[in-house]
Amino acid sequence: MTFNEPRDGIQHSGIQVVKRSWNGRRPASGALQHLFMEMDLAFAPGVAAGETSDVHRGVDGDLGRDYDRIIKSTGFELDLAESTADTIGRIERMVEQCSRPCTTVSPTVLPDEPDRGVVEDWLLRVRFAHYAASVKTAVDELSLIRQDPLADSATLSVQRIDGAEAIMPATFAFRQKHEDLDAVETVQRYVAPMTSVNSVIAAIAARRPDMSDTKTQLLLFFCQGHHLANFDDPLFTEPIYATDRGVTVDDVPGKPAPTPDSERALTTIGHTLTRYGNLSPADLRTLVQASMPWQLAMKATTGPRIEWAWLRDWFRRPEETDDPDDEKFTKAEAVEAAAFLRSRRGR
Amino acid sequence: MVEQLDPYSTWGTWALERFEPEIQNWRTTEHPPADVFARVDQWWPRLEHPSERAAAFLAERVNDEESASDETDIWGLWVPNSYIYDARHGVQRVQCFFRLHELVGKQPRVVCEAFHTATWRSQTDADLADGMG
Repeated sequence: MTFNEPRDGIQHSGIQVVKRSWNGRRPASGALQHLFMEMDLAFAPGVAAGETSDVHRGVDGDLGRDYDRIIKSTGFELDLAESTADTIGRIERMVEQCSRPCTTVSPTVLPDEPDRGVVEDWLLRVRFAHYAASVKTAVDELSLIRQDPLADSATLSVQRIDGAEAIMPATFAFRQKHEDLDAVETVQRYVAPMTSVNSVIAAIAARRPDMSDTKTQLLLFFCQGHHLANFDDPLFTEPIYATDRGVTVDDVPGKPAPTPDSERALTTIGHTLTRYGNLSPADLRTLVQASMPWQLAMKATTGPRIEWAWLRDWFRRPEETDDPDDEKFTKAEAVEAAAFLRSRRGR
Repeated sequence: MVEQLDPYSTWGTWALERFEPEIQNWRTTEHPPADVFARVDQWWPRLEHPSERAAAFLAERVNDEESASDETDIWGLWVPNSYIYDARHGVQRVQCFFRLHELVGKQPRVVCEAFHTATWRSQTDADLADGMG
């Protein structure tokens, strides 16, 4: 099968799955520079079938074609080491398990031979219109995630679709082969400076010396979530894992732990402690376990790691960022405030 | 593990800078009603307590936070009880914008960026809220 081969669509429980393949070969090791991902959408009743949406990225921010429509998405991990047949099989199994219309994903790669790889900053522009209950909501959002160069995957996500029901973040993890990690590691300029979790723990301990380890671990979830939501970059590099009792983060044993040398990091930590620091561990655990990121991680077949994109989307959900009953600025008020500050600087 | 405990960030008092000139600047440029000005002027010293800033919203982020120490992100808050009722604009409230500086070894401080009167609820929203819509 080739990239340009016509689609082979099959109907399955009201969900259209479109088979695609890797252009007859594996992508060159590690590059991922020209990785196109085509999302063939499954549509709810009332929406014309057969429409497709494309996402792709280029090396220099060439964002390519737009999404047309997304109704609802579900996570799918693209494994470059996997055979095409296995990939398609996983897509079909995933679709079979869906009780409601969902998006299916099939990977394709440009016929160009990609260079040896770096994972640059990953850009994913999503423009989509959501049609539901005769209400049309058009959203144009940009999603950007930078990931630790030492991590074995980069994660992109489609942001929440306002107005849709029970939206799950659509996350696509591009896992790299182990032998490519050295090449990635050398490209430090693509990576925003980040703090270690030990530093964050030190800052929490400095402010609240009485904090138990359990509560500190739970607070790390909120620190990381709010930081990602505000700044796109993670506060600390270490992954967070979902557990039956909440979350856990592996600290680095034996390493000194200076508090972060970043106003931004300290502000996030201070804000988190002000907001959540007086809650009991049970309260915090309830909030964590009610969250979509924790639930997704607990269900994930690839392990209980909580992806940053999930966290960011959760802490950007409208209930958190656009609640008119909240004393915080709504999105519209925030836009006006930013305009005021810009105009003031221009005086 | 930690060289010096830093109680300021949670319970302690922070230094407040540039609030007096900025509130006067707001008074001069936006002409708030006298009673509202008095309430805002009475409120801002409470920002020395972090809990008063719990609802702060990221209003503007600096592009490179490491570039200059005084250019940190700008946070915004609605000033409590600062409502201004206006037949044309609806309900207005006063916003306070500030930057936070708390690196260890420095005095934690809140630096005022601006006060501003902004529409909080349009006249339509206000009518709906009071049953007149």
